[in-house]
Amino acid sequence: MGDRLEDQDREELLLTARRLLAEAQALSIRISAVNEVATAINRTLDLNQILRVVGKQAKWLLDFEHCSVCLQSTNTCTTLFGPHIAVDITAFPDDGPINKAFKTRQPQLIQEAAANGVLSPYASQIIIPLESEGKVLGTINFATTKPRAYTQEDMRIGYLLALQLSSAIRNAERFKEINRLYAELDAEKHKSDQLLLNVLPDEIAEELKNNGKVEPLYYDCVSVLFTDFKGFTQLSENMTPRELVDELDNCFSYFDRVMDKYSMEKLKTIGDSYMCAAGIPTPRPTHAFDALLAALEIRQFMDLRKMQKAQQNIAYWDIRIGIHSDPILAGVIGNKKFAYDVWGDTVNTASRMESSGVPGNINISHETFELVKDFFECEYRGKIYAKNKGELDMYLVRNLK
Amino acid sequence: MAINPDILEANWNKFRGTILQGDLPRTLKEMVGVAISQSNNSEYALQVHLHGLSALGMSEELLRTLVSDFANCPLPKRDKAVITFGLLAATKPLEMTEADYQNLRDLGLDDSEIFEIIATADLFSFVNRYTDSIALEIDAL
Repeated sequence: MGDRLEDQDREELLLTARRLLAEAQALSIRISAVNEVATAINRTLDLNQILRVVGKQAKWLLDFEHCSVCLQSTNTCTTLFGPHIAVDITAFPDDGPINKAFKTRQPQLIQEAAANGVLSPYASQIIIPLESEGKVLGTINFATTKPRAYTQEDMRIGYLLALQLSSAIRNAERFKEINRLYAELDAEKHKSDQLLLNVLPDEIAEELKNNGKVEPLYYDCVSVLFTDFKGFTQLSENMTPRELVDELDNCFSYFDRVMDKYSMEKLKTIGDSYMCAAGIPTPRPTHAFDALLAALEIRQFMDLRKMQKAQQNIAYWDIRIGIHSDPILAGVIGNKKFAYDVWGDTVNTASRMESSGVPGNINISHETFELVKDFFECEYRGKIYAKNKGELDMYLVRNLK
Repeated sequence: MAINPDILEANWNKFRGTILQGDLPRTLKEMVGVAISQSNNSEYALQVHLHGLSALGMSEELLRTLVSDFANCPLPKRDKAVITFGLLAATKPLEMTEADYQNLRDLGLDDSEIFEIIATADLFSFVNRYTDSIALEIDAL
């Protein structure tokens, strides 16, 4: 059969035409097979799954005895078909076709391989760079032992697959990155939620997160408790600031646990004073009862601590505890350094109960006494003067009845 | 088949499971179908496959080359091996030997892919027999 169409007779032309048509159709079939592979690899965003699909389906597109994918992100080469080759791509020879494809960003069509490359057992090779957004992600490599096996058409088919594979790999890497960021975001959110919950009661933290503010709420009756250490200033002169703070931390950490036990709300510490309340943010009829139980536990702890110190001949603080029960407003105001706080004259009276109390004792107001008198042994002190309040009925709590 | 919905449903499920799903490309399975229909002289089925394949980008020219000059047909050799194997499974199943299987394994096919070819061959043989038996008329495609 001559090269020039003009020189061919009808029979030859018919054969040539048929052959060319068949070639065109074969190419077209392979292209539609590429589309099928592309659909399959784009069904998943998992890189291993993508490579598995390529390993299974690329074999219908062109003949090869070896197929592998090198990835820059992990510096690894994954053999998808045929005997495995070296995994670490940093060890691949610089002048080998894979590195050449990386550097030049050009597909490499090797008809008779040199003896040194990682694919040297295979005479024919097609190495196609996987590119996305101007960046080489890696290469896809096809190889067969038959010399001169590959045509430009084969390389084009490989290139079409490489285009699809590049975007699938990029999507998978993005997806992984997004998942990592989501996980980080979740962890950070969890941390900030925990921080907020540590500062604010659960329902208040939730309201603040949802609405950006917390409306102060009026409570008919709650119990506010103050503690203060008598002799704190004098004793602190004999201690280093560090020792002092450590000791305070020790006491207040215990008080915090007592708050949890009786579902009370710690409000703040001011120097050596600890302020808390029962009956907020969820109102409950047992607020005075809970506050007294907490006060008894705190006093017991301080007695024990004082005894331990006495054994070491160390002077220690006496605690004064004051409680008053009446209405208050509670909420969060301002928009920095959020703190759940309470307002109202009840707070002042509770503070007076503490300051007018007796060291080592729990001093309560008449209002609190009325709420707990059936359950606690209390001793009436009479009318005691309280600053800015005049004379108030006060009671010392002895114990549970 | 519409007069017996149970058979219609069962066959549709079989068709979907065998041809529309699986690991082998649909194009390749359709080519197996063409080879079988040609061999069975099943005009209806042949037309259906050719229509299916022209939708997938393939013409009769290629199939003629495939049948008349198999060795020179410009398809990857794996694809050709699959078509040969499928045709054998459909037309001369008793003549199949271990060598036929081994040939596919040597080309890198696994057992599930080989089974898919056999299932495809079986399905298209059935479709040939069915359409031929009821002498189904060819719709304008």
